[in-house]
Amino acid sequence: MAIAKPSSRKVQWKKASLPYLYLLPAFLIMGVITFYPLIYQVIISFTNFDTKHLLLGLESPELKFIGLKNYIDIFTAALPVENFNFFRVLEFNFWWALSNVMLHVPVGVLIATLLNTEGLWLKRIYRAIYILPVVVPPLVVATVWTNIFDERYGAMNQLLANISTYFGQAGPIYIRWFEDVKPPIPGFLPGAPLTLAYYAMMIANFWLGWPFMSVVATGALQSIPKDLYEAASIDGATGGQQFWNITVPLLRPAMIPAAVYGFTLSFNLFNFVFFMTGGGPARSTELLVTFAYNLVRNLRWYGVAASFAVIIFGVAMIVFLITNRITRATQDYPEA
Amino acid sequence: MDALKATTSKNPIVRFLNMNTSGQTSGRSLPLWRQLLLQALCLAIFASVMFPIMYIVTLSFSSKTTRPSSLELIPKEISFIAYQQVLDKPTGNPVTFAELLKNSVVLSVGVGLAALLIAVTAAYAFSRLKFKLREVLMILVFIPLLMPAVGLSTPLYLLLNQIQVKECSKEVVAIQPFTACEGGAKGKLLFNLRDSLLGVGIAMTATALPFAVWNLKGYLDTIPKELEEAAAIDGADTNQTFWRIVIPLAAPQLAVTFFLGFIGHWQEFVTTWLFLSQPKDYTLAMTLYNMTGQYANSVPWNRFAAMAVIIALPVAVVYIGLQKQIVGGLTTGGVKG
Amino acid sequence: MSSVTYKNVVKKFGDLTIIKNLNIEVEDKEFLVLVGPSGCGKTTALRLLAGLEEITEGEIIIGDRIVNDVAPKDRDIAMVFQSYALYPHLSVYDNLAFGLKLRKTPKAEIIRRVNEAAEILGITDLLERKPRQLSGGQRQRVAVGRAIVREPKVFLFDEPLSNLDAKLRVQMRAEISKLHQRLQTTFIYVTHDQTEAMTMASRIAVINKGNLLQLDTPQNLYDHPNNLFVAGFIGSPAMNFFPAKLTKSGDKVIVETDEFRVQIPEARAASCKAMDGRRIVFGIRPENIHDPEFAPPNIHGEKVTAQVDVTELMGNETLLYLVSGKNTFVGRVDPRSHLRVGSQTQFIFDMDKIHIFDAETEEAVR
Repeated sequence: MAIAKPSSRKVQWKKASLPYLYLLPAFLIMGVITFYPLIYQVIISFTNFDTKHLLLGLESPELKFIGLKNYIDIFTAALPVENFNFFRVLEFNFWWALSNVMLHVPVGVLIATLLNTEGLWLKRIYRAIYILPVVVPPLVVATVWTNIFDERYGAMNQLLANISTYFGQAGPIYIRWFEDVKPPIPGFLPGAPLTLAYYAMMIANFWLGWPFMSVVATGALQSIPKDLYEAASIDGATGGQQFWNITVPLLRPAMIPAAVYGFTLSFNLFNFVFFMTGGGPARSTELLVTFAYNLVRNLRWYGVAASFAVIIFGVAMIVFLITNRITRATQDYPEA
Repeated sequence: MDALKATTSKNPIVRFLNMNTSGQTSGRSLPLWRQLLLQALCLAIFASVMFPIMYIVTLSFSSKTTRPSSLELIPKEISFIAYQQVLDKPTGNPVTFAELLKNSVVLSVGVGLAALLIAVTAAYAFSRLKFKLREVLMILVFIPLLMPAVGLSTPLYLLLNQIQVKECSKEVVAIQPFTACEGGAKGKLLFNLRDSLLGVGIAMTATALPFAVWNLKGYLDTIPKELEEAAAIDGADTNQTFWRIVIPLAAPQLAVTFFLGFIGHWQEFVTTWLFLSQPKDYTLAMTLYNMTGQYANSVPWNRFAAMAVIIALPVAVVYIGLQKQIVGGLTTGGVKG
Repeated sequence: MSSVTYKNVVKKFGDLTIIKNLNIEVEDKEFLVLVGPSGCGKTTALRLLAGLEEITEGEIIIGDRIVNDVAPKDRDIAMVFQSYALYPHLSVYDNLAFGLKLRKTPKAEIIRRVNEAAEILGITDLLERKPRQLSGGQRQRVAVGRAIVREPKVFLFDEPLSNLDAKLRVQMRAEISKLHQRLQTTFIYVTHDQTEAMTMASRIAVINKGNLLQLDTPQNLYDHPNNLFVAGFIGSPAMNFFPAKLTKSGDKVIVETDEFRVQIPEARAASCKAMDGRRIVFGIRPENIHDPEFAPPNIHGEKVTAQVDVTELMGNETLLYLVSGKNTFVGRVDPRSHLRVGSQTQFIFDMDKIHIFDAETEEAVR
């Protein structure tokens, strides 16, 4: 019997190395433009890197390693920046992301359910319009909303003025959305006052946020078999009961990852803060990312900025580990 | 089966737009009072969605440079003056609209394409090939996804800034950090990689790449394995399977990934604003920011609105243009019924 | 020569052993069906042969080549997948031609072979279409066609009919049989459906839990199952089993269940004597249980009292679901039978057609 020639060592080696060949372009480039910079960042986070060292970088003779000083300064609010307290910013950042998602998901689901109503007229048109916020670039959305909340000429104050005339209150309204430091609901979030600017940003982000959740929910709604509802209505369930007992539990596997995604997105939402409030007033709406940008772009304290980025990375890692847990635990129902 | 195909697209937005809305399958019709109630609700939502859009569109069609002192959501006049002016001379700087547009397109298309091309083979390896370090390398690629763009831009800013071309004297050019001018002379700065479209492009690619790998891998995972096994039996080696089966099947997702890269960088201004200092390198997005930023009080608001519309339109248009390709739903049909 | 041999083949996934020491010799031009319940390892056995999985131990030989380390494409095989695995982006023509193009077959030859295969399968009109424009049956034909054009030494089928509706399945069954006669090549076919196995195979290999239990012609398998599993798996409705004990009284050997006692005919008695006093499983197929009114003459009949629980009239036969004490069993009786639900009577067991299995080893006692 002829034994087929077992593949030679060369062929075997070629076969084993092929996957790495496929990975090579990405890793080569990521090595230079992603991994190396990230390591570089960790190194300079222990230095006093600032504009003086821009040209020579680590080679710079005056560059000093100052150990954990940057980190300590950040955590103890010892940076010479007004109104900066890391833990307050962190708390606000979490609350900001959480409050957004808690608002967007239920509203998105409800509107998706509304549009899923059988026999509703003009469904197609509503769907086409409701998707617009998802399609408009966030940059434009942010600039437009900044404009809308303008104290003198903003559409929001004008709209409120229009509405108030119906209640017999004529005259323009000048709400200072981005400047007012006094929180409208005092003590709502202990430790981090929620100024009017926060609510303005919530409104703008709400406009942007729910349509996305609605899109996800609609997709999931379509995959719920219709006979489940038919069976339930034969069993005597009312519309509300059907919503709570069928729609909500069956949407959960789709909505949890979407909510997690929305949370991450809001957590690092740069545009609104940067355009609308610049983190103010009194840094009450500052997020981690906007402050990091401030450190680099305006203050130019590169060493501190690097430490701050490392801290953000740590926070993001923790958030990821938690959300990943949530997503996995609720991923799907076991096959019935 | 075709009805099924339309609603099983991977893209939720596509599913959203394609689902059956005829309402003809309905067993019973909606009572009129409920219909009217729901219509009122729908119209209210409709109004809230349209509110900022109509506001900005109205403003862009205005011939006055100031904002109206009372609410205007429907254009009183259709004037293209603002658009004309924006196209003519978008900023106070001597830079044309065409240049801004070119910068935006070069950056967004370039970064989108670069990320896609570099990512696709890696995504395939992670999705399908077996090798020892798979898990470790995959974690390594996805770690940068956790870092917000700002965090990755900082070190790149510092690193790219160290790469400069200088003219030491006539005909003598030094490329830092590899060569330096003699005698420590400072020389005249010709080119700073950090302060160039190329540098910004590199920084953007750094964040776009892991995302592209992740996005493509997710899609490749859904391509039925049997197709590749059938190809293997038909005589295809890994490379042939990749090019002749996987790439054509992944085409819709390649388009989606490219488009997501494009859309993200078309309106990018965080990195560009940090890196670029010369008006000739500015993008449309930076210009829009500039219009609202420092000199907000002297802003010609109709031009600002026109600029916002101009930036938003291509994204919306490309989106609609790509619909068909995304909907293709290529894999339905090849496997199972 | 296109025989196929599994020699001491073992397949493990991690700690899990999917196939335990498989030995099969498939002759040239044979139609071998691997049958077993889902998860028994039959598909894995086929994928090992195709080269889609690597073999842990042993050898697989195609023709006179050990193919353990040979890539799928060089094994000279073709495979029809359960999901068809048609390339969705290619037309039917290109689907068929794909393998030939990769092998740099001359264009004229490709056209000839594709057209020939299309003609055999009656899909000539569909060559320009994309897979998604085809019906299930048409896709199935294209999948078979893709295998035919390659003119391989061995055809592999992985549950190719399981996605078709019942009527189409019967039709395709006949067509695949016809194809085998026409092509005169080795076919290896995996299915969980024993009817498919019985109707198409020249030999059947019954596999359970990674073990080959019996390899024989369909008729032998049906008449002489080697063990309890094969006996229960082959045939529909399945063979009736009764836990029982063998006792000897004089020359006679008696099967003793909780409810009835039947005597084993002399011809079979000799082999059973050694089992005296042992626990056994007594098996009889439904068609060997007769309505006393219509029992054929000249058989070694034994009477067993039972009550009719459910009747299923099929027209050409009647199925009776019977109860005798704790035992429930099925009889397949003459359609003229007057027995109705609730009737109690003495049914005739044809003792020449019985099966006896050792209760411990589950092996047949012959």
